[in-house]
Amino acid sequence: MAALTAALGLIPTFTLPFGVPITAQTMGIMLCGTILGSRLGALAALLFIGLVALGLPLLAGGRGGLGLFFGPSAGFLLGWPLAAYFAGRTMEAMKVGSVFFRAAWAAVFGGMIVLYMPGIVGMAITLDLAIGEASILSAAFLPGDLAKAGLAGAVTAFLARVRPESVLSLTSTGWCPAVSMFALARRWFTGAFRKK
Amino acid sequence: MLSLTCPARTVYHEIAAGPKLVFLLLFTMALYLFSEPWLVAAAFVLVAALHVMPGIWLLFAALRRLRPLVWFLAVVLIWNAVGGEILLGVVTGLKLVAAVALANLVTMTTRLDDMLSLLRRAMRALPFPRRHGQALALSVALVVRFIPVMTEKGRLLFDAWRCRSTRRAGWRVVPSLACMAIDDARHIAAACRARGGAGEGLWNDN
Repeated sequence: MAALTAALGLIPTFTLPFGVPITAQTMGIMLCGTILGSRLGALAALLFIGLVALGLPLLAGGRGGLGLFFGPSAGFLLGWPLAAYFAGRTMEAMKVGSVFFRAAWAAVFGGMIVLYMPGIVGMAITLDLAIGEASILSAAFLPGDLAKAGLAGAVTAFLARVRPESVLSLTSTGWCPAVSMFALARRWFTGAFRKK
Repeated sequence: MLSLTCPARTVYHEIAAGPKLVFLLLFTMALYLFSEPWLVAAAFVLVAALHVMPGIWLLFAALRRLRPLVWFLAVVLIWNAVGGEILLGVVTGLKLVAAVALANLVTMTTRLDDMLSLLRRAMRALPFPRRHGQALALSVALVVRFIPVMTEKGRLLFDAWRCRSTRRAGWRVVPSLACMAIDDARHIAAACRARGGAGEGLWNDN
């Protein structure tokens, strides 16, 4: 999966006006979690950023090296193992719904909700901004990341159909706050609909 | 496998990876701890001097690598200028350029095998079982070997798409690429297992 994440750097990128590139590699990290599960997904993501830190030009556009860990995307890069872990954890814990839906929600939770926390903190430190200001800048990622989460769900569902034994997250179990959040949200929505 | 190490040898290549990384860490920590403009300016000048010392070509090579920061610096300056704190914007920009440039310099002047041997020593010093170190070494070797393979397969998929459509392939090749990666991983795992395996305990969930 680390090699796949590197190969996803082939897909053309564009850079946001404040210097952070939008690449398909974040989707590779989401896939690490939704396909490999929490532990192996986090290890694959850790291996990938470790190789980037060692100086291999694995990120989109041939970027790599220690410089990235001191720039505006440092928080996002360091958050990748966490993102993969929580995406995998959500996938392992969630037993309701189709594989596509579960994987897409896992990718949203791990690859967006969890990943944005270190990402925003990293941007705030390097840019010398308040957390609120950094959050506003990071909001530009939201549409692209939502699309990537949907695609990660579709790819996981596709693999679950053609290579079911390879989607390790489907065979593991566990607990994850994202699933409880989802159950609460579902209960709230159901209640809201009943009132109507 | 390509790395970002500078092909021409400099005096920094003679310094071991460990001290360079410790210096980078201490320098960056100090840079973010102090905000006095003259201290930040001095740090920036020091980093620039470190780049110029082996030859002006190293400075130009480093500037090329700093290009992605241009937009980012512009936003920092504009953001602070709008808030009436232009000096703060300049100090933040100098801090960022100095930290990133020094980190890039360490990457450019440290060979990949030096970094890997440092990693091996660090793994040996940490209280991990030996098989974890073996599994890590195998994983690094496999990823380094498979990145060109996956990249080539990705290119072939893009070419195949272009043969059949005038539209850009983009995300449409991702499911096929993921399927190929899974298949390759399974074949390699089977081959490794047939040869006695490596670090099995790390990878087996059960």
